Amino acid sequence: MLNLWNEKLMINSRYYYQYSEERLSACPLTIHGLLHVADDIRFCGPSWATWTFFMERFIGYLKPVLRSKSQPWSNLNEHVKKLAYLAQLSCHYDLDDELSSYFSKGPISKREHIYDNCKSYYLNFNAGHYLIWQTVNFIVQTPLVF
Amino acid sequence: MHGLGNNILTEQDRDNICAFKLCIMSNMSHSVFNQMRHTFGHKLDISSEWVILHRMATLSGVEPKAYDCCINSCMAYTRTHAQKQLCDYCHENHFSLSGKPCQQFLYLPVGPRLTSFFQNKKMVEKLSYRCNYVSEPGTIEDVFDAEHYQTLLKSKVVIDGQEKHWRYFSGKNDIAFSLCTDGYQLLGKRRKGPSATPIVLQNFNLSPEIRIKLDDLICAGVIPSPKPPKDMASFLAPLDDEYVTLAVGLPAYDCVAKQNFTLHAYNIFMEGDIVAMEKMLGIKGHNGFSPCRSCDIKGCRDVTHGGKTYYVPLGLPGLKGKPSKQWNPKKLDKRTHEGFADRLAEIKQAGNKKHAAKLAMHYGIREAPIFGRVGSINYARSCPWDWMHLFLLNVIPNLIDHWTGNFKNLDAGTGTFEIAPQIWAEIGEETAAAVQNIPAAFVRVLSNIAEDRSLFTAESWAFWFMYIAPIVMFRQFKDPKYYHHMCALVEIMKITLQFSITYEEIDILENKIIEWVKLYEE
Repeated sequence: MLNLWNEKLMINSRYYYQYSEERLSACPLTIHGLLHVADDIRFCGPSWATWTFFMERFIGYLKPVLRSKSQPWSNLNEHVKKLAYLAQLSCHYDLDDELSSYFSKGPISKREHIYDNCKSYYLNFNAGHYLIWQTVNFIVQTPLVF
Repeated sequence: MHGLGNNILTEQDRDNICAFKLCIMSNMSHSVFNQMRHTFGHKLDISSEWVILHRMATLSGVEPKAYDCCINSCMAYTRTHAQKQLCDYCHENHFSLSGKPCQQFLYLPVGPRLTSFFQNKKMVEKLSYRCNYVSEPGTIEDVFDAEHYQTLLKSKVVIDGQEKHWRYFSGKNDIAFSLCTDGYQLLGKRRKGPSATPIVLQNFNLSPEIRIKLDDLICAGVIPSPKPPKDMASFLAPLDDEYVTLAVGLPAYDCVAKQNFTLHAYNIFMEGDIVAMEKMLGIKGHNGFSPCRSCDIKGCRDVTHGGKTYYVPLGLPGLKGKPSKQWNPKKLDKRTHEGFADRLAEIKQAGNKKHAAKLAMHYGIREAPIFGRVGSINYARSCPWDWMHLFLLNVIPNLIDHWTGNFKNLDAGTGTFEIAPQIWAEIGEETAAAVQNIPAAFVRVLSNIAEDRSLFTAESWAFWFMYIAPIVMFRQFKDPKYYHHMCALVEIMKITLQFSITYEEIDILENKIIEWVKLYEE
C-alpha cells in the first residue's frame, strides 16, 4: 500500500514549470541564460574573469562618496575626476609607496606566524585562540576564533 | 616629461599629494580638512583645498571633457546630436535661460591614463602579465586561453570597416580591457529615485589578483541618470571614438626598456547585467519575443490569460503536462556577429514601417550596437552572461521563492516543492547560527534567510546556496528529488567557479546545465 502511494506521489510531483501555460512565468530569460554559460567560458574565459563583482565593489565605494543631494552628479563627477588625478600622479611621479592603499605589516611578533604557501595571511596565536589576519590588505578582516 | 619622475615635485607637493589622497579616500569634509591643516600646522605646511586641487590638476595632466546632456539624461549631445536645441525624447531644452547647458556628463579620457602607466617601473612589470602569460593546452585558466582572444591574435585590426596591416595584440605592451556599466540607486534602494551609471574598464593586462582592485580599475565617467538613459550610444560615443585612437595607437614611452613605442589597446568584452547588455547591443528587452542575446530562441506567452510577457522555456506548454514542441538545447540557433549587421540592414530595407517593426520584433533588434568602430568585439559572443547576476541574483532567489510559495503568485501546481513556513523559519535560524563558527575569511555574517532576505548580498547567496543549503535543506522537501535537483545546481556552480577548467569539464558542465534546465521545466 505504501509503495503504491509513493509511486503515485512520484508520478504526480513535478518540478517548477510543468509545461503548463499558466506557469510560463517560471521560465524567465535568466533560466535560459544558464544554457549559454558553458559556451561563454569557451569563448570568453572562466566565469571569475568576466563576472562583475568588481563593479559592485566600485559602486559600494562610490555610494558613501555622495555628499550633495541637490547636485549629486556634479559631486560624483568631481570625485571620479579626483580619482583619475590620483592614479595619474602615482604613475607620473613614482608615488606608489605614498599613495598605495595597502601597507605591509612591520616585523611579525613571536606569537605570529606566516606560512610559506599562504603569504598574504598571518596566523596570530593569542590568548588561546587562533586569529587570521591579512598581511597586506588595508581592510583588515574581522578576526574570528576557531 | 619622460624620465623626469620625482625631480619636479617639491617636498610640499608630496605632502599635498598625500593629504589629497587622504582627503579623497576618507571622503573628508572641508571642516575636517581645515582642522587637519591647523592641527599639523606646526610640522606640515599643507596648502588649502583649492590650491591643492588646482596643483593636482596641473601635475596629473588629466584633461576631462564635459559633454552636455539632457536634463533627464535621455541622451548626450554628442556626434550628430551636438547642435540640437531640444532633447529627442523628452523635448527638454539643451540650454537653460542663462545660456548654460542644463546638465553635463564628464568624460575622462582613457588613452592618456594608459600611456602614463608606462612611466612607472612597477606598473610596467605588472602590465607584462598578458605578454608573459603561458597557456596550458586543453585548459582555460584566464581570458587569454579562450577562443575570442585566440581568434583576435590571428586577425588583423579592423577600424571603421577597414582592415589594417597589424594584428590585435601584436605588441608586447598592448592592453586588453573590458567595459562594464551598471546603474545604481544613489539614495537607498528606492526603485524610482535618482541613479547613476559608472563606466568602468577592467584591465586584463594585470594579473587576476589585482585587476579587480579599486586602484587598478579605470573609471571613464559617471552617466547622470535622474531617469535611465534612453540613448546610451550618445553617452558612450566619446569612448567609442577613443577606442579608435587606441586601436590606431598612441605614442608612449617605456621607462624600463627606455624607448618610445606605440601603445595599442582593445576592448574585448562588454560586461554587465541583462539590462545593461541590452542597451549596449541595441536589442529589444528581456520580455520580448526574441529576448536572448546569444541565440535566436523565440518566446511564448500565456495567451489564454492575456499575458503580455514572453517567456523562454525549452518545451512549449502542452496538455497533460507534456510539452507540445521542444527546442533542442544543443542546437539552438546561435546569433552571429555578422547577423547583427545583416538583420539591421534587412530592417532598414523593409518597405514600410509595419514590416520593419515586425522584423525588429522577430529578430529582437532595436538599433545598431554601441561600439561599432573597432572590430575587437564580437556582438554575439563577447558579452558573457554575468555569473553573479545570473546565478546569485536571479536563479537562486527565484528557486527560494518557489520553495516558499512567493514566486509571482504561482502555487506549486502538481509539484510538492513547497516548504512549510515553520520549517523555513527553522532553516533561517540554522543559517544565522551556522555562520558564528565559520572564519570571516570565508564569508561575512549571514542573517536569518527566512526573515531578513533583503540583507543578503550576492556573496551571501553564493555561500548560503553552495555550502549551507545542501546541509540545512537535507530531508526538508517532501520529495527528495527536489533536493537532488538543488544539489545538481550547486555542483554546476562549483564547476563554473573553478580557477582553471579543461575542455572536457566544459562539455560535462554543458550537459549538466541542459539536464538541470530540462528537469526544472518538467
